[in-house]
Amino acid sequence: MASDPALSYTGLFILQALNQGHRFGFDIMQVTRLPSGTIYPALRRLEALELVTSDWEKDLKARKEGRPRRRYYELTPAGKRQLKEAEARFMAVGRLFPRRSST
Amino acid sequence: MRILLRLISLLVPRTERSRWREEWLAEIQHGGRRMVTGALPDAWAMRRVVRSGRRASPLHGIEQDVRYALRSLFASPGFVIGVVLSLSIGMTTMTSAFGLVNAIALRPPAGIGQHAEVVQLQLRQPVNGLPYEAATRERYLSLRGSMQSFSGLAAHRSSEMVVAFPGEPITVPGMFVSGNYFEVLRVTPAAGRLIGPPDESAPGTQHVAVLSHDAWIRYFAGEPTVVGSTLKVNGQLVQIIGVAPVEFTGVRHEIDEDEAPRVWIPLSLLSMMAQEPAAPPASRSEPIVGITGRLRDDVSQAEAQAEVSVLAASLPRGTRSDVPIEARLTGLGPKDASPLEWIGFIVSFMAVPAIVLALACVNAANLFASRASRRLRDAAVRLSIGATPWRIVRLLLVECVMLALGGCALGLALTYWATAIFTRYVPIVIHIDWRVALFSAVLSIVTALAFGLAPAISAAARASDLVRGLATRPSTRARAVLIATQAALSLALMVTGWQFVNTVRALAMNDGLRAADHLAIASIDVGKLNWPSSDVDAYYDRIFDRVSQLPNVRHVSYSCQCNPWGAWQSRGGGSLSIWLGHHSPDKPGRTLAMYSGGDLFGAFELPVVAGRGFRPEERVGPVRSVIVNQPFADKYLASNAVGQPVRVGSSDDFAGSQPAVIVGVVQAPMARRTDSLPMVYYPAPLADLPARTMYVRFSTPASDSIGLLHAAIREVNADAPRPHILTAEQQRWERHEANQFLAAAVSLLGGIALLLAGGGLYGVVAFLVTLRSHEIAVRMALGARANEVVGMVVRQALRPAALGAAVGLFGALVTGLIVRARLYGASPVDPVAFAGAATLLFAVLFAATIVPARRAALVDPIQILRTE
Repeated sequence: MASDPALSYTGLFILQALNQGHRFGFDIMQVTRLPSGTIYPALRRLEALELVTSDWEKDLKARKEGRPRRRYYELTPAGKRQLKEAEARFMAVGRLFPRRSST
Repeated sequence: MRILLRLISLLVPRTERSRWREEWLAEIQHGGRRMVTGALPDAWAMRRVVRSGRRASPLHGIEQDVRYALRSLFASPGFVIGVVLSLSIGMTTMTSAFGLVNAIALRPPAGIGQHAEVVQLQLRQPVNGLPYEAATRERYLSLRGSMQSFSGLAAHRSSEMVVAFPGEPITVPGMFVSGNYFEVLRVTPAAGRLIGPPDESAPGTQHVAVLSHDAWIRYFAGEPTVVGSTLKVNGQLVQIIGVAPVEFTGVRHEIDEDEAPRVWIPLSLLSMMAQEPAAPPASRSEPIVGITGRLRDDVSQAEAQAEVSVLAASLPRGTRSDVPIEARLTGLGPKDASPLEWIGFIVSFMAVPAIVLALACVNAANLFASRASRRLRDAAVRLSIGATPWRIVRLLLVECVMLALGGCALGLALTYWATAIFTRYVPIVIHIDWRVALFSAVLSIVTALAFGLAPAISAAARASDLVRGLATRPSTRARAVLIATQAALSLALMVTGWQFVNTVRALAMNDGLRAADHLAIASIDVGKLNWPSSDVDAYYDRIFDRVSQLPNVRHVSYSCQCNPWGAWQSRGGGSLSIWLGHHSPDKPGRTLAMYSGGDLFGAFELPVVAGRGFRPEERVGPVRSVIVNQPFADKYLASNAVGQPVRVGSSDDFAGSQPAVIVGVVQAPMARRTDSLPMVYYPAPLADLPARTMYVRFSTPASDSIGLLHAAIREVNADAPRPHILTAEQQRWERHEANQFLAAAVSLLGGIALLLAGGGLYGVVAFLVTLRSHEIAVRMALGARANEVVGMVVRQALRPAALGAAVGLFGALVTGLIVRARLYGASPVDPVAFAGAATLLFAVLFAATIVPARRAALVDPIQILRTE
């Protein structure tokens, strides 16, 4: 699609990480090994481009673990489509990160 | 850690701040302190994302608005014509005024290369606390040799020159310039070459001259062969070597064509070609020059100023004073010449046009508001399907900008035309250059906002009320205020203009001169030709005889070039030292005085009220008799003046004065002032008088005989410069030209303002009537008669106008008082002007109201009630 904005490698990494079930900032940071100063701004951009959307963790769960709520990100349909197009171009993308065992 | 996060979170826009903070608290829980390094870039990214989302929206889809505005404007041509015409009138006045300001103040002098580097150098020497011009040629030469900051330092001296252009000799402004003058100013010649350093090096041998472009076109029809030909300037033959570029007037920004130099001559010829008899001998040896320099690339004006200050202080101080000489550098632009003064000038010049533009804006706002409220439903529909109020405002503003641009385009065209007419009457060159165009464009945007913003915002607010189901009615109070403003402004302008015209006319007429159209005034000056004084006297005697024989001539008279109405020019006298009985020899009195050759009192039609006039034998030789005017006799001599002995002299030197007797008393020429100035008339010149004014009283209108007069004077000596001849009537106009022009402009603008006010009121009333059509129909159905309805509408419309008129009259009264303070003889309240302008205003406003009101009253009430 012509109107789709170009995706940076960072953006691609993050989409892929999200696709593999890594859903919040620190988790993504750990699996991609990108610094925090890169991950979070990229997440904001992806959200503004509507490739990613965010939701909050259930309040009950966070309270049980005695910590603040996490902000969970997930791919939008547009994000999934972008990722699929990117995978078609870069065959290795699919094998970048391991699938997360549990959340 | 939390505090740090809290601080960083301040960067995040408020809408996202708490969510951002919560997310980061969770992240730090996992990642530890090091995570904070990422928070700052994230906060910044968040800010950019939120901001860009917000910023993109204000102009999103503007092209749709433009298209829509164009379509809807095309659909209502009447409205467009009304608004565009109204705005273009306002813009024309404003742009024309700016064009004039631009010509006078903002345009750089023409023909000078890289004018930003050019500075003028003033040398001043305080003498008894007063700053005297001290830039003599010697000091200039000394500075020129020692200054390091300048790539060149040039000198010039303006001087009137008698030039024998083909036809007859005339006196024109000219300029003596140093050899490097044109080089320093980087002037490119239009033909031939310009004066260069070699023309200066051998004083007195190079007789060359450069013509102005204007003179080249005017006297030689732009013929290139003129280069190399010879010309007589001040009686000396010079060779024309070239022509200066178009409009080059030197460093002084000369906007008046008549004052621009026509001829440039090397400064080395100054002593030979310009004998200035009026100048005292002390200054004759060291003529004052204007100094102009070009700064070197690497030197700032401040550095040059520092250098020149030091050098000036060490210059020889001359004989007049022992105070060191002060130097000051100024650029060519107006920015160095006291900005406050310029701003004051510009503001006072633009104030009245700005009022007219404001009136035009009020008109446009009225029409626009009516149109916007007719389209309220359209806006409400847009709002209810998701448009933001800003989109509604923007749509309306886009329309405003288009209308304003239309007004601007038409205004520029009208300006071009108006300035063309203007320059036909006033010798000022006005260019519509990029500054004027830019000003006009900026003005149109400002105008669009001025007239469109308030109606657009109020329309959007009312549309959203409509969406929420609230009843909405346009505020009629705002319109009433607008009507009142228009009435006030237009009335104030008109009355002020009218009073001003009256004042100026009164000033011009009340000079006590009878039948001014029968009196011709010829100014003749042969001073530049350096004739011996016996030749001068013979020349004037011959003219006198020749003119006396012309048909219809009743009285011929000579005087010095001084004004019989009290304001005198210093050349050739004008004031006299006088010793009456009570004056001691070393303390004479000073009085206005006038040489009265020939029949001066006959020419002025001033009756001799006591004693006698001058006898022919008194007209030669030393002065032995004088005549005083009535105020003089009343003030100094208790009215029994005839026979009193006096001593008169041109200086305070008692020994050089002449004993004389008062032989008569004449009436004072000035009727408008009861305190007319005391004046003494003497029968023969006290000193050499190469410049004289001739007064010729005809029995027929003098304008018919001016050609004869020219021919008669030329017949006497073809080498003498062409005299300047006017009728006294024309001279009145010339003396009050600036005021006349201003007065005419103000009253013209007042008239335009009145028309605008009428048009605006028509629009408002038409709209109000449509709003009230239902009510009017009900009233008529219940039995109201048509003229009652008309009366009701007219009353409603004229009430605010009456209030505004009262304010406007008060404003005019205040202006009148200010004018009175500035201009002698102006009456603060001219009842005719006030009553006349008020009547005119109400006549126009009444006409503007009655038309829509009658239309409202004539419709069939049943039809309206049915359509509702």
